[in-house]
Amino acid sequence: MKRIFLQIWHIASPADRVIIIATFLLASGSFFFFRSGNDDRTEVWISVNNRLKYRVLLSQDRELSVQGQLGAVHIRIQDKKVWVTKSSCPHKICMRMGKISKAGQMIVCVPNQVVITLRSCHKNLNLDVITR
Amino acid sequence: MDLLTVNEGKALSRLVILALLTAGGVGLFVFESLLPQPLPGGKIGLSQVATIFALYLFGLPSAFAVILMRIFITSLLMGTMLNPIFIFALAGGIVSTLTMGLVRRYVGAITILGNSVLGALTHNATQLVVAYVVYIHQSEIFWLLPYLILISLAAGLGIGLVTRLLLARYFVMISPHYSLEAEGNG
Repeated sequence: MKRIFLQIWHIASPADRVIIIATFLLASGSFFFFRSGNDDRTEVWISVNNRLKYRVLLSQDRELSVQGQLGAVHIRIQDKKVWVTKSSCPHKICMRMGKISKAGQMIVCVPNQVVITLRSCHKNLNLDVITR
Repeated sequence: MDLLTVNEGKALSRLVILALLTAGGVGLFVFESLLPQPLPGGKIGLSQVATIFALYLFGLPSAFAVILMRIFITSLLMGTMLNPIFIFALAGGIVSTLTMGLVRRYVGAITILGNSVLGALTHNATQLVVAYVVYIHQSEIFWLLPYLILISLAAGLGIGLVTRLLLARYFVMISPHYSLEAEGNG
């Protein structure tokens, strides 16, 4: 492996060597760029009946309550996790779906038509909350 | 039957070589698809040997002919015609071939090694951007970028080296002093 790389390095022109080093630096640079500061970007999207009601940051602890088809659904955001604390639906499946914390996960309450999704957005949300 | 003129003979040999390169590219692509793929997008791009070979032997239009024919034939073989994989391959192939062709023409300081790395980089970057714009509107896919750049570097160097050796071999082979006995000894 080392021998192959030395051979490549040997036959590469100065411009090629610049490209090799620049690519390596680009890889490590982008590694640190994408590894830092992503935690605060995840957002909690709560929609009822296919209409977005809340869009809040996962990093801010808060307690929310939305009006579903059957009644109120209480949602808690704490320690970068989201879960349903109280729901008016008969089977309480949404409460048993547990706590979600990663972008892409979701909690659904079918009787209330409440959908909670975690999304990571590339634009920083500089607002406390968006309601519709 | 008339004998071919020199120009016709050159055009004919070019056609034959491009056809062979396309066939070789298809074969390499199918072979590579049999290998395990540990990371998404982590393909080596073995079939690009054919494209770069055509690019350095005949120039940009021939390279385009090889890559486009290769993509169409492999997508028919693999059953990915006109689905997302096909779109990614087409976009990446066109942009990377164009980049390599322009670099070869206008930046003489960069040899086949660096050009191959640039081709791999633009290929992966184009696919990522197309995936983001057309299919996945979530920026998480750009987290793949560091890995893709590293893979591009390694694969690009390997492909560049192989193509360089093949080209050197080809030029030895078509030289007037070449003989089969010499090859047997070498």
